[in-house]
Amino acid sequence: MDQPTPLIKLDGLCRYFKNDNMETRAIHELNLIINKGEYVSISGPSGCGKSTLLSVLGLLDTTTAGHYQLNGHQVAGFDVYQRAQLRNREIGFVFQAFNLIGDLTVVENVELPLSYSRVSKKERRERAMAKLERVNMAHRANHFPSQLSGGQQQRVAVARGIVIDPSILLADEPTGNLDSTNAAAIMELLDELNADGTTICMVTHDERFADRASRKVELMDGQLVR
Amino acid sequence: MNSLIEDIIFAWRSATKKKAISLLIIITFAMGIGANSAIFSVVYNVLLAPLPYADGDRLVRLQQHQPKAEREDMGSSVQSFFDYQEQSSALSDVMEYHSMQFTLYGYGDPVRVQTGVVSWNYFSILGIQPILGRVFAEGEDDIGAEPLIILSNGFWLEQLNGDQDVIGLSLEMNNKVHKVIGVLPPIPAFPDDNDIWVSAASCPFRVMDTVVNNRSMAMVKVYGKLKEGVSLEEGTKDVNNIAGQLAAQYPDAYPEDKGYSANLVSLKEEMVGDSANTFYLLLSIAGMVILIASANVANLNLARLASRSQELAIREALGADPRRIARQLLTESTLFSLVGGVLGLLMAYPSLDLLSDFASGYTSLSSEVGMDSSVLLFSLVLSLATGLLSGSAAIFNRRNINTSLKEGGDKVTATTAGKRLRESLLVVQFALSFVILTTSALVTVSLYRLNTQDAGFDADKVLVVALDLNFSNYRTRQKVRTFTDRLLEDVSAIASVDLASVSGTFPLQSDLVGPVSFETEAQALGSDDVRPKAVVSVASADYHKVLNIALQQGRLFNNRDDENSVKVVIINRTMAQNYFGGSNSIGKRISIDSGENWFTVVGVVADVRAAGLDKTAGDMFYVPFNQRTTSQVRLMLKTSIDPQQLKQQINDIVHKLDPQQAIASTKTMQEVREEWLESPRLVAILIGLFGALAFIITLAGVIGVVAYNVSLRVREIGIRMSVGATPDVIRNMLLTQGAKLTVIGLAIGLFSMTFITPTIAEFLYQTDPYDPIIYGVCSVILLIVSLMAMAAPAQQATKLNPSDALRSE
Ligand SMILES: Nc1ncnc2c1ncn2[C@@H]1O[C@H](COP(=O)(O)OP(=O)(O)OP(=O)(O)O)[C@@H](O)[C@H]1O
Ligand SMILES: [Mg+2]
Repeated sequence: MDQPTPLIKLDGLCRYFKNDNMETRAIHELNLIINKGEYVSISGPSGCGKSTLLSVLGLLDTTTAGHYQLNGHQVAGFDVYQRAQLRNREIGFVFQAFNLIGDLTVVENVELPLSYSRVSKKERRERAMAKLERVNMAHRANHFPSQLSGGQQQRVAVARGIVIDPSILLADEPTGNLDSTNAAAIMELLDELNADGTTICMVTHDERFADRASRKVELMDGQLVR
Repeated sequence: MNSLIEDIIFAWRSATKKKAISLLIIITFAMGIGANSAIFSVVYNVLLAPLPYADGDRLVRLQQHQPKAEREDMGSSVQSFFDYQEQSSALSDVMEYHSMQFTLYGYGDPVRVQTGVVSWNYFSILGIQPILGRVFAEGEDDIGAEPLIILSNGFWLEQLNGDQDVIGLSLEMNNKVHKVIGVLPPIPAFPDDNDIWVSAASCPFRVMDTVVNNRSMAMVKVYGKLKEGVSLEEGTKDVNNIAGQLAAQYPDAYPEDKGYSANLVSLKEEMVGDSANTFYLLLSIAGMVILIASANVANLNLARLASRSQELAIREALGADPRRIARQLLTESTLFSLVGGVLGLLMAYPSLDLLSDFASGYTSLSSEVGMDSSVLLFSLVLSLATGLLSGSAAIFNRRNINTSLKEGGDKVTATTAGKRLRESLLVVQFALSFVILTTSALVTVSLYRLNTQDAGFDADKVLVVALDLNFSNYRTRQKVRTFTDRLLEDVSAIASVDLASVSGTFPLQSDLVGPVSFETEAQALGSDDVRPKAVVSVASADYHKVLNIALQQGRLFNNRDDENSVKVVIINRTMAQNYFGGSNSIGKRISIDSGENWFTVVGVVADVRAAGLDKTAGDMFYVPFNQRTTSQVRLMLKTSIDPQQLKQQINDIVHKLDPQQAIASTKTMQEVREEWLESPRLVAILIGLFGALAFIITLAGVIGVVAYNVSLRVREIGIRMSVGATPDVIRNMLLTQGAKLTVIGLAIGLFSMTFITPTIAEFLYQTDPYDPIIYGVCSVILLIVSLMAMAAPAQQATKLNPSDALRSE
C-alpha cells in the first residue's frame, strides 16, 4: 500500500461561463490528482476559480470539457440522478456561509444527507448524534440554527458534511465568516478528521491554514500555478 | 395626516413596481367584492329594505278563511271590504284590489291588458306618486263615476312610447270611453303585473248589483294600513272580531258549518315570499368567496413580506417605528381592496338585470333590485374590511428583528417564519373551496335529477291555453259546456291538431287547486268521521291521451260520460294502491259530498307529478269535464307540428268565440316544464358560478403561494441538492407538502359541510346531501387540480443548478 490511490483525477478540465456574449474561463485545462487520505488546500486570488473548482469536484456543477474521475467513476456522462446519488454517497460539503436550513433543528440538519439514502430513521438519528458528539455540539441537537453562534453553526455544518463518512470533504473557506478563535477550532477539527482518514480539499485565503494541509495547490486564472 | 399621504404614495409606488402581483390582488378583490355586492343588492332590496311604499312596515293584507271547510285565504266580498273599512279600529286605511283582463281599444291594435282594479285611495295610501298626471281622487271609485285609467310605467313606455302628452287621451274599454289621468313610476309587479289601473267604478263586474251585494262573491283582495303603534296581532284581533260580528249578522252568507275568520299578514312578508332561504344561501356562498379572496391576498402579502423581512428588520434596527411599517402594509392592502371594490361594482352592475330576473321567480320585490346607496355602502365596508383583514395578517406575522438580521447574514436559510400562517390561510382556502365546490356539485346533480325526472306525462308537442271564464257570462254548467264544446270542435278542425281536451288543471300548473275530501264506499264513514283527501281534476275525454298518461286498468273517459250518464272517475295508481289494494279498483265507488253522490271507478292511470317535478304523486282522481264543470278551463292540444306555431291561431279562435274572454296564458307544455325548472336551474347556475370563482381564486392562490415558497426556498433546495437530493426528491417534497395542505383543507371542508348540509338539503331533489360519490369526486378534483397547480413551480425547482442555488440570496 505504498502506492497512493487516486481518489480524484482531473484531466484537461474546463469550466466556462457564458454571459451576455462574454465568456468567463473560470477553470481552464486543469489537471489535478487528489489521493485518498490527502489534505489539500487550494488558494489563490479572488475570482481565480477556487469555488468553481470545488463545485465541479462536488458535482454541484457540470464541466465544459475535460475528464473527471471520482473514486473510479467517469463522471462526465452522469445524469442529474447519478450525480445526486454519487454526491450523496461520496461527498461532504462545508460552506463559508454555513448553509444550515433554518426550519430544521440542528440534528435534523445533520441527518439531512442520510434522509436521501436508504437509512432507517433510528440509524439516521444515531449517526447524526455521533457526529454531533464528534464536533462537540450534541448538547444543542434540538436547537434551531438561528439560536447558535457562528462558530457553533459551522461545527454543525461540519458534522453534516461528515455524517455520510464521505470519500472527500470539500470545504470552501470554512473559516471565512468566523473570528480567529472559532476559525482555529474549526481548523483543529479538520486536522483531526484528516488524521482519522478523511480526505479533505479546502479552499482558503489564509496562509496559516493552508500550511496545515499536506499539500498546497495554488490557482491563478483557472489554472494551477504549482 | 402627512405620513398617511406618504404611506399612500409609498403603497402606490410599490404597487406599480410589482405590477403582476398587484394586478392579481386587485382582480381577486374585484371578483370577490363584485359577487357579494351583486347578491347583496338582491338580499338588501328584497329582504332587508323597507317596502318601497309609504309606511311600508305598517301595510298589511287581510285574509278571510272558512276554517271548518278548510278553505283558506278565500278573498273578500265587496260588502265585507266596506265593513272592514268602516268598522276597523286598528286600520287607518283599507283598500280593495282585484285584477282582470280586458281589451283596450283606441290606439293601434286592440290589446289585452292586465288591469288592476282598486279603490280610489290605493295609490295615495301606498304613497305612489305618478310621474305624469295624477292618481285617483276621493269619490272616483263610486259607481257611476267617470271611467279613468292610470297607466303602468312599463305599459306607457312600451305601448305608448313614453308619450309625454298622454294625459287626457281617450281609450275604449268594456264599451266605455276611459280617460288617461296618470302614469305610474316603476313599481313592484304586485299584487299582479298590471298594465293599467282603473278604479272600482270601471270594472263591469265589480259594479254589478249581484256582485256588490253578494257576500259570498269573494272577488277582491283587501289591503290596509295599521294605525301607528298598532301591532299585527292587535290588528288581527280587531279584524277577526269584525268577522265574528259579520257571521252573526249574516248567517246565510257565512254559514256556521263552514266557519268564518279573518287575520292580517304583513305585506312585507307577503311580498318577500319564500325567497329568503335561497338568497341567504347565495349570500353565504358569496361570503365564502370573499373570504377565500381575502385569505388569498393575505397570503400574497405574507409572501411579499417574507421576502422583505430582512429589509424591514434593518429599518427597524435603524429606528423605524414598527407600527409605521404595519400601517404601510395596511394602507397598501386597503388601497388595493378599494380599487378592487370599484372594479367589482363595475362588474356587478351589468349582472343586476339578470339577478333581478332571477329574483322575480321568487318575489315581486325583484323590481327593487339595484345599486342604491345601501349597496354602495355595503361594498365600501366590505372593501375596507377585506383590505384590513388581508393586510393585518402581515401584522400578526411580525417577528423578532434579531432573528431576521441573523438569518439575513446568509449563513442560515431564512426560517420561513409566517410559513405556518401562510399555510393555514391556504388550508382555509381549500376548505372553503371544497364547501362551495361540493355545494354546487350537489345542486347540479339535484338539478339534473329534476330535469330528467319522469313526470308521468309527455310534454312534447302539447299546447296549454288557460282560460278563466268570466263568471258573469258563464254562470251555468250549460253555458260553460256550450263554450267548451264549440272550442274543442273549432280547434280540432285544425289539421295539425291531433287531439284536444279541456280540463280544470294541468300538471305543473302554478295555481293548483287544493285537495278535496272524499270517501270510498267500503269505508262506510259516519258524517262526523274525518275524510281522506285527494287532488281532483276535471278532464274531458282525450285529456289522458293528450298528455300520454298511461292507462293501467279499465278505460279512459269518452264523450258519453256526461251529466246524463252514470257518474264515473278515473283514479291514479297511488290511489288505487292506497284504497283498493291496487288491482281491483274498477267498479268501486267514491264520493266527494259525504255520500250524496257516488262516482264509479272506471279506470286507473299512471301517476303524474302534478304539483311539481320534485313531488311524488299523491292520491289523485279525475272526473269527466261534463259531469263536474269548472270555470277554470285549460284547453290542451296535442299537435303534429311545433305547438309554438299554433299559439296565435288558437288565441284567435278563442277571441272569435268570445271577444270578451281573456286568455290567461298560452304556453307549450315544454315551456311550463321549463318555467318550473327555471328557479332551481338559476340557483344551480349562480352557485356554480361562485364555485368556479372560488376555484379560480384558490388556484391562483395556490400557484402564487407555492411559486413564492419555492422562490424563498431556492437556497434551501440548493443545500438539499448538495447533500444528495435528486430532482425527484425535491419535486416530491414540494408536492407532498402541498398535498398535505390540500388534504387538511379537504378534511376541514368536509367537517364544515356537516353544518351546512341541513340548509342545502332543502334545495336538493333526490340527492343525498352526504352523497359519498359527490364528496369523493369533489375531493379528488380539488386534490388533482391543486397538485397540477403546484406541479409547475415544483418542476421549476428541480431544474435549479445546485451551485447557482447555493449562491442565491
Ligand atoms: N454562475 C456563474 N456565471 C458566470 N460567471 C461565474 C459563475 N460562477 C463563477 N463565475 C465566474 O468565474 C470566476 C471564478 O469564480 P469563483 O467563484 O470560482 O472564484 P473564487 O476563486 O471562488 O473567488 P473568491 O475567492 O472571491 O471566492 C469569476 O470570474 C466568476 O465571476
Ligand atoms: Mg469563492
